[in-house]
Amino acid sequence: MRNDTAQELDPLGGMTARLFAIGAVAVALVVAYSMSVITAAQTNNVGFEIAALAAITASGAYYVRAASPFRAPFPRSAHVVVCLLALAAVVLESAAQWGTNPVVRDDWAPIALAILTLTFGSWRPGWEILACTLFCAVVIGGLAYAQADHFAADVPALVFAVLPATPVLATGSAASAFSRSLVDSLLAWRSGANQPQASAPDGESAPAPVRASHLVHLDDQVYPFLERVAGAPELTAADGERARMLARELRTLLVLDSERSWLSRIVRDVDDRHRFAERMGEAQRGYLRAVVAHLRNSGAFDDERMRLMLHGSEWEATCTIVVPCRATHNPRVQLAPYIAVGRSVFGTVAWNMGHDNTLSITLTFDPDAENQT
Amino acid sequence: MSLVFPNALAAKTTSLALAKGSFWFGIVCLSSVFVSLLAIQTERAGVRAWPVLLALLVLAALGVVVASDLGTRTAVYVTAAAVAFVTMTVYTAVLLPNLRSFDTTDAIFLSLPKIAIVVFGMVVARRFTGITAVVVAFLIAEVPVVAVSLIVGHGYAFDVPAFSCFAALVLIITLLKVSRRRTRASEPELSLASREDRVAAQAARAEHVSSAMVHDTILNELAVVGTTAPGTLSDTAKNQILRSLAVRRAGAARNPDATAAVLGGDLAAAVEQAEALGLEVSVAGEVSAVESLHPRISVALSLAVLQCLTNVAAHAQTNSAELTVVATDDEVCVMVIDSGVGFVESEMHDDRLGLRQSVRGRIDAVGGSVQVWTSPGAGTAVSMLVPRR
Repeated sequence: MRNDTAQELDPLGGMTARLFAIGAVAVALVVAYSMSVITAAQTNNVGFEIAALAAITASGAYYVRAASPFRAPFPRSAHVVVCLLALAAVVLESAAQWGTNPVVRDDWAPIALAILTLTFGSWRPGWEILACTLFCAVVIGGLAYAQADHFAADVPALVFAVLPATPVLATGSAASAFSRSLVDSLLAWRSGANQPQASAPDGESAPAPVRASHLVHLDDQVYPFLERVAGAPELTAADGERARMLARELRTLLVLDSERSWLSRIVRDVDDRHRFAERMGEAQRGYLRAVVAHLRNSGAFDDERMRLMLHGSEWEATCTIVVPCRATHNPRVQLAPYIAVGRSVFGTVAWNMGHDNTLSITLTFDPDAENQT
Repeated sequence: MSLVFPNALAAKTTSLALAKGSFWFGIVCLSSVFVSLLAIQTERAGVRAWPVLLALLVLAALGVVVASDLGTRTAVYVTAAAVAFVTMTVYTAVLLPNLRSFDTTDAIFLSLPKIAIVVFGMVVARRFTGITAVVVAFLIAEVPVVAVSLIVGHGYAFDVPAFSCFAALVLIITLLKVSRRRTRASEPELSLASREDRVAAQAARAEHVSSAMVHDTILNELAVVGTTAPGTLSDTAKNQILRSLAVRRAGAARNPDATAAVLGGDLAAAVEQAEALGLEVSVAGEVSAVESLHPRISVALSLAVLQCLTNVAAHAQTNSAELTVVATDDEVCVMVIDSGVGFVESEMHDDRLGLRQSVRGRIDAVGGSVQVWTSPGAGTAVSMLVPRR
């Protein structure tokens, strides 16, 4: 069974999905509260009904919270909790109307559960959604079957079991197929079978990296000197002195260039004495470049005072980005996609806005991961 | 590989996934009605449900057709729409008289097939960006039911579930575009950063090669000029300088063949140059394996070996070294071993660039690895492992 999820493979897609999750929760709650009022006459135990509404509200609230890009990826435990709370609402609603529920079709809890289930496709693997759906369908169908004698319609009890379970079966199957299709497409793209050009801002291409200082020194000073010496009839004492000085400078620049990490070429203030930056993977380096570029270009931060610190051990390294935020800006919304994507390439991603209005983003990674793969 | 999924593909893959999800949604709805009606017919011998069961099978088959590759052809989905309209008319006409007198257009056995047709519209919509297919599907589902119901005297009731499904699909199609534009706005920046990193990594590799070359050539020439007494520079020294300048023109990082032509760049030349420094080198193993390597790897390996032998001559206080070549199907390993004074690698001064750049830098740049075993008084062994390709 494949455990890949669309959100893990495409964190930005997870952000789109979260808007739909919020919409689904809103619709589910409107359905739950409005239908519980409309069918109030069928309720014989108000306590259970209120508990059912509380359960579906808790399910929705937990769902929205767990789907946040700041908590990505959406875990299996969240899927289970959301489903169990919604299923608790189904059981409690049945208990509230036990014996006084003539029409199964106007029960709001199975509908609310189905609405929530519809949006699980972006978060969890297809098989897991299907398994959860079948479990919920059995519970819903079983409850309806047990109440069959009290329903007004004159049809076989099996029909009462099948029809109330249909919404959750339909939405669960749809979400499962959606998940499988999306994951297939994303894996095909990752394997390189179907790669279009990635988007880039208009007119922008990757800029040429800054040239190493020893190369500049060679072109400007050393090569012209050696060409002149090779072509000159005699070597002077000044040439000897100049050669020694150029050699010292060149050796120093070679050492400095070999000491400079790729990170110190994009951020001036980097503390990475154990050279953890060199042990990041390609995706981690690309992500860090993107975050630094975002912090630099967004206008919300004092990028001149940006600092990066890398510390850790052989097993886990931590990269902390610290940058003062300009007073008028709240960076949360702008940061959301970067946090979501970061969670797919780093072990953990945390961010914090300090009392002094300084943003800290902390990323952890396994410095030995590249060697293990 | 880009860091994030490109926006150019996101719309297409989501449409495809929505189509597949919609297909199964519709099939489950039809199956549910089918099973329920079958249960009713089984329990009540007098009920003749087979025409409606057949109609449900036809609707499911239409779903399969529009979800298949055939479904992308205009003639196919137009025909499917016409057949669905007729089937729904027949289904309603047969079913409604068998329901209770107060059952009307929103009866569950009518609602679910209507919902199935609407979501099959979403399957067809994978070809379009708009909502036309879903609107047409809703009309195909709703119009015959309302018409037949009014004709047979069952009246009309607003079908909340079917309309809600239709409205939800329209909303999904509309909002998907808007929300995607908003939530995926950072994709170009993230993709650009990935490309920047690839360019920088390439530049860093080229820089490593260039640094090693500079260490082996230009620094030597400057040392020669700096230690030669004023007067005429020997032809040998001039030729060395011209050779180093030729390496620069050859482009060390980009052109291994040209570099090899200037510097020698094979194992025999490395051994020859080391012997010219007064070192006695004994060679063992499959030396020919080095020649079978890609020129880029072979040149890097030979120059790294030369640097190891130069280090032995300059620092090991011994006049002999062993060179051993071991080859497998995938890799070639070259070891340079001496029984000299040895050293502590971690205590090497920062400006000792030979081992770091001319050996490690070079071998890393071609995807290989270097290991050094040494301790004071116990000699040194440097192992350089490179891939065959």
